[in-house]
Amino acid sequence: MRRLLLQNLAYSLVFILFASCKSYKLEGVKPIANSQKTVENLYFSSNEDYVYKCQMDIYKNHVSGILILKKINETAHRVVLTSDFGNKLIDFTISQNDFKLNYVLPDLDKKIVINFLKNDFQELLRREYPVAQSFENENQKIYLSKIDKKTYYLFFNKEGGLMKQIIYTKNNKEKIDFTFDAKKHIFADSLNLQHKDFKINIKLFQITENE
Amino acid sequence: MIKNIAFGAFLLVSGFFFAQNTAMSGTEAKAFVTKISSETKEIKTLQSDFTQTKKMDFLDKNIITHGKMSLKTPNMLSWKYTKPYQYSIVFKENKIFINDQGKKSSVDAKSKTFEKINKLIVGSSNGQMFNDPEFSVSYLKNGSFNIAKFTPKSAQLLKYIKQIELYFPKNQSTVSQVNMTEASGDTTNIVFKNTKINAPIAASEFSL
Repeated sequence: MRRLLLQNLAYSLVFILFASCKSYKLEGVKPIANSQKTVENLYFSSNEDYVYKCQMDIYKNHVSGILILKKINETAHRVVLTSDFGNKLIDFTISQNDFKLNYVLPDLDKKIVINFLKNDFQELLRREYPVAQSFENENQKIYLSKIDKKTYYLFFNKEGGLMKQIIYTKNNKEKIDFTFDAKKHIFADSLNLQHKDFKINIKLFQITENE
Repeated sequence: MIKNIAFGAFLLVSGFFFAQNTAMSGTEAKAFVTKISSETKEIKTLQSDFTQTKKMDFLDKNIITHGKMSLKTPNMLSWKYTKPYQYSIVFKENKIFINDQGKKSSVDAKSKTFEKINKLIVGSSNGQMFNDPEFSVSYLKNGSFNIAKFTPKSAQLLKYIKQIELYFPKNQSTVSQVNMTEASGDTTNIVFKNTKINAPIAASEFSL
């Protein structure tokens, strides 16, 4: 009996290990010749204000507010999250190599929170991706890009050419899944940022164009 | 063209006019607080539409949201954003209920500093904060408004908010405008319109 239990436990452990080690793999696609050297995420590339209603779920905490993204020069963005009442929760200036915290509400002033926002927004605001390999399926072109130890899969709709999704993986494991809805290449109407490694989810809905 | 000049002149004059805030004398301030306090005691319900404008120096445009507030004494308050998105928050019996575009949640009103701040901001719409021990208050006036300026006493609260100004039109006991200045210098301005005093409010206004 005891032996059986142990055996069961061993099987379960192997299974869990196997399941959690499952690598991210593109499915139902065929490789094609690279048609371009780089692809770009232009959704935050304009100099206009980007204003979004924001819902964040960080484990069991729900944070609601307004998220403002603004390109302030060729490399940096200013990112501000306010509550729905307008008071500022966090304000930072971010580029791929730099991060400056301008303000944080004392309640949110925790290293773990700031680090996760820094990492997520660095990924979200990354503009250029060198293309290593290209694939396609019926509706989409998929570009694989490698930067340092990170691998990105960028999905573009064949019709209209708008980017639909970025899957960010590290050591072959899916880390963050960004899904966009857009009508224009420089402006996403909505965005869903879903962590695959932690229970963190950020949803954005545009309120920039509401007049 | 003449119209434009006239309008421009009006703006200029009114701007000049609004800028002339002078401090009330001790007697004036006392009379003002007594009047507002006694008149607010008569308020059982209060309803108003509001427009909230957030200004930040690095933005091209201000962020403008619209909504509706309802207050029922002693302790029910509903604050609803309706444009450009739906978000409601209800303060009821020391609990806070939130409906964020269909996603509902509730928290204990005593639990977090941040929620307290929000209650304070929302609660400022009826001028019941004159006696709040957390603030020192100074009183100003100009041709059209009496103004109560609240400054936090504690360093802790100052990290959140630098100052709150409540504008009371001279013939009115309720606030028509709230100006908040944050520690960073950014401002949020809320203007109330179509204010109704003691009109019945359906109980459903306070349930989400």
